[in-house]
Amino acid sequence: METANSTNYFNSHTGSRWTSGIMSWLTSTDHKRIGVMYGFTMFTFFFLAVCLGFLIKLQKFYPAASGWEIIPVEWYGSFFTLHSVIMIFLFIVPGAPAVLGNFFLPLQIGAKDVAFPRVNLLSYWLYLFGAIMAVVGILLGGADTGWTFTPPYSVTTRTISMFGTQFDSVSWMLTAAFILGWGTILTGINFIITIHRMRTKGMSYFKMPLFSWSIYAASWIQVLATPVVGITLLMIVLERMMPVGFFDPNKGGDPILFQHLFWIYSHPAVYVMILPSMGLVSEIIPTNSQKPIFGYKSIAIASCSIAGVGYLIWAHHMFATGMSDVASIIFSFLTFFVAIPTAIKVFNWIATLYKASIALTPPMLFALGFVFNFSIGGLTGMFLGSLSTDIHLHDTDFIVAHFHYTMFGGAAFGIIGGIFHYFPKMFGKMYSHKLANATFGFMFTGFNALFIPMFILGFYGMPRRYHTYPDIPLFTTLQQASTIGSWILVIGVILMFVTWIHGLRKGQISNEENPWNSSTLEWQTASPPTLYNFEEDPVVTRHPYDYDAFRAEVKAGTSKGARDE
Amino acid sequence: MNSNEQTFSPRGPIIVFSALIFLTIATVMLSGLDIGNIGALIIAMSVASVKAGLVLYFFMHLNHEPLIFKLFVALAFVTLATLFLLTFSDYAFRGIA
Amino acid sequence: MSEQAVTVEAFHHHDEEGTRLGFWLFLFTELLLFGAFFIVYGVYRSAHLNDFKIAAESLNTGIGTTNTIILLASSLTVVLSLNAMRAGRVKLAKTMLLITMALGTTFLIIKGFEWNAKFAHDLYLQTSGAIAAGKGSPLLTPGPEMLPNGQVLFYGLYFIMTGTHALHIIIGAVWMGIVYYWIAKGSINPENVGVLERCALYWHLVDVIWIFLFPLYYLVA
Repeated sequence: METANSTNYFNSHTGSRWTSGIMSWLTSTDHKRIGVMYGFTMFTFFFLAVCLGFLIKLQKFYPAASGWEIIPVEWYGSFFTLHSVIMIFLFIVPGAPAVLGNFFLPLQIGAKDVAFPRVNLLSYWLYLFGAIMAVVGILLGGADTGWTFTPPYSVTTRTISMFGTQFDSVSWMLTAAFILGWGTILTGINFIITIHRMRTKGMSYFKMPLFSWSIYAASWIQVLATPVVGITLLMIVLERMMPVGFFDPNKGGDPILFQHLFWIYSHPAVYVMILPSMGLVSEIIPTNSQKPIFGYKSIAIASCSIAGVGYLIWAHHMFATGMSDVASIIFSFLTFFVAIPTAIKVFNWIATLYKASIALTPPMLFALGFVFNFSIGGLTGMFLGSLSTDIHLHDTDFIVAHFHYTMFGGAAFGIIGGIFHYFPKMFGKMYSHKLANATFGFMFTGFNALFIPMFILGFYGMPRRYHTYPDIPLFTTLQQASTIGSWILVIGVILMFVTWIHGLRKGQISNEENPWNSSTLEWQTASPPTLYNFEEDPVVTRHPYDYDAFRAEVKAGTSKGARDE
Repeated sequence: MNSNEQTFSPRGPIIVFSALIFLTIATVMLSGLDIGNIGALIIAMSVASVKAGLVLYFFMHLNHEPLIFKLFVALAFVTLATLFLLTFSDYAFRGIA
Repeated sequence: MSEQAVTVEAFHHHDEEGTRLGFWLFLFTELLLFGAFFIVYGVYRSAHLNDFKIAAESLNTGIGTTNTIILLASSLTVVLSLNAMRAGRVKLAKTMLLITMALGTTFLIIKGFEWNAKFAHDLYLQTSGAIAAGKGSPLLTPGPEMLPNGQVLFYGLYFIMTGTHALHIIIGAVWMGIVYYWIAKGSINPENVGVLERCALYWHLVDVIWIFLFPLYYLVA
């Protein structure tokens, strides 16, 4: 760092006896270092999963009759399983909370660290251990159960390793998921207590920035839902090893019960993925509009009600399983309720833009992309939440397109936008805006070109998880359009990494505290932040998005604004 | 809770413990009655809930904790109850139960 | 990294109440973990009511009641230990902690005998008869006769639920041993009871779970 005498988290840190080198990172309890480590690990896995996704789409370029085979048939299942396991368990669930939540939650509420710094480090270690276990396991054995591990297949399948030996990679992966689960539970506990107990003076609950609110809602889901799936996955492991038949109909068990227990966690978990990204969008949009966010309280409460309603609707994943009709009707009915708080948020974001002087910075582009993609993803979710259309669309490419619109176009765009937003604060350097804008252009175009055809394919009956498809002109055209979209998207992802690496190595050094002229607290500390975040404990007196008061403070010199203004 | 001010008195915990033992014996005795499956289940679960409540409230000192602890505990139990209720919205109408 | 790299003392912030609240959150995860088991139990009990009743009758209510009373007593002693420590009576606290550990161990020994009896009656091995030959663990040979599905499920759940519970008792008892050592060393003292308090909370939660396990397996037959 240029300013050698200031102590930022790069040249000094807490909780480790190593002073420099990789061990000083791996053993540091500083929330900022842990956040950066999560980011590094997560995006490494993300890139691996993007490569797998690229191959999966490439496989679909020509129909069956052509004999085109990029991925051997028997490996196709393992490919999409690894793609989904990495994307869900290693990238998007820990995603925004673990990287940006760790780094910015304490900064946003004016705390020195999270409540339990050592537990925080343990979370990272559990994450790293589980992640390596999952990836190694699938490479050794090739589990092809999909990330949902649905029995009876997940109980009966016996996988053979690449080296010809028997390796129970399914049990191995289930155990890895269990370990990863404990990592996210501990992170959740940490964040809840941090928010309840460590807000700085004057930071009342309704003066917290909205990203903190979304992290709070997501943390409750992590704490109360993850244990259910943890023990359920272990029951599958037991069933594979011992003569019990919890989910085996031949032994009196009910495979649908597994799906209940699985989705009790995994449906709320999609809100763990999306809520923090919504929080990031709620930070980026007012900053780049330079005006207060519309309906602050309603967004905060909507975050919590999304988390709450998210618990009541899990079985809408199971309309085609043979569950009772009464349950189907109840769950379908309840599903529509989650659209209300979600729509409130989208409305508020749009209303914030109204008559604002909008700066189209790279994070803002991603935030607007989020709103666009997520609206498509959310509304197609309503198709799937209705019983009769779901029976038609279930297990087709339509559903694949739907959840990619929410999870990639939504959650991942939010995380990436969040990183572009916070990059100068995290590293004290500014990336090239030209590269970043190009990243957005490629990602947004590629993403939509990839998944819009899949909506149509699914509607016309193309099943998901299939290795190939018949040579019907409509299918071939749409599949090829989709595959070409994936190439554009991959260029975007590579450009994203280039932008970040270029920004880190050659980026313009700016120790400017508040380059976007944002009114929230985290921008008032140094860039990169000092060791204990703030030189002295900040005192909060105003609403986080009160831009009039903020501009007055900047004029009076009590707050730091953008320097070139 | 200011730890040093307290003087040690086993009286309170022993009273709670006696109640727990009484309820345990009562529930074992009641299980002998022939009141049908649902009735037995309701009685056994009600007694167990009272016992759990006593342990939570007195032994786990929820009585001395601020409101937020009680709200959290309520949230956890409400969540669990909701999961039960909604799961059984399937099984109660599936025809196998 | 810069050459001026320094390591600073870890950020310490003592917030007993916050830590206790965090520990309660952890206890909720344990509660929901067992909650999933209880859901499975509830579903299969309603689906195989008669089999569950027949199987439950093979469990000894006397043993179950004894173990319940033992666990309740251990909850009493651990709360007395905590209260004694708060009042500055360290020696009494240590004695009570020892009694708690002894009661926990007694519970495990009784449980062990009970499990052993079930194994001896071949109940567990009979369940293995249900699995098709060649699948499952090679350690378990198929039993001579298969029990009805509902009973197999009952014993499967019985073993996994009481087994998970016993695992928690072991963890709690080991933790108490560590706490005892720290009390002896003086790092847990009347001014600093946090760890003892959390250990006691954990023990009580394990007790709460048993309070529900007991009637479901031993009483509603």
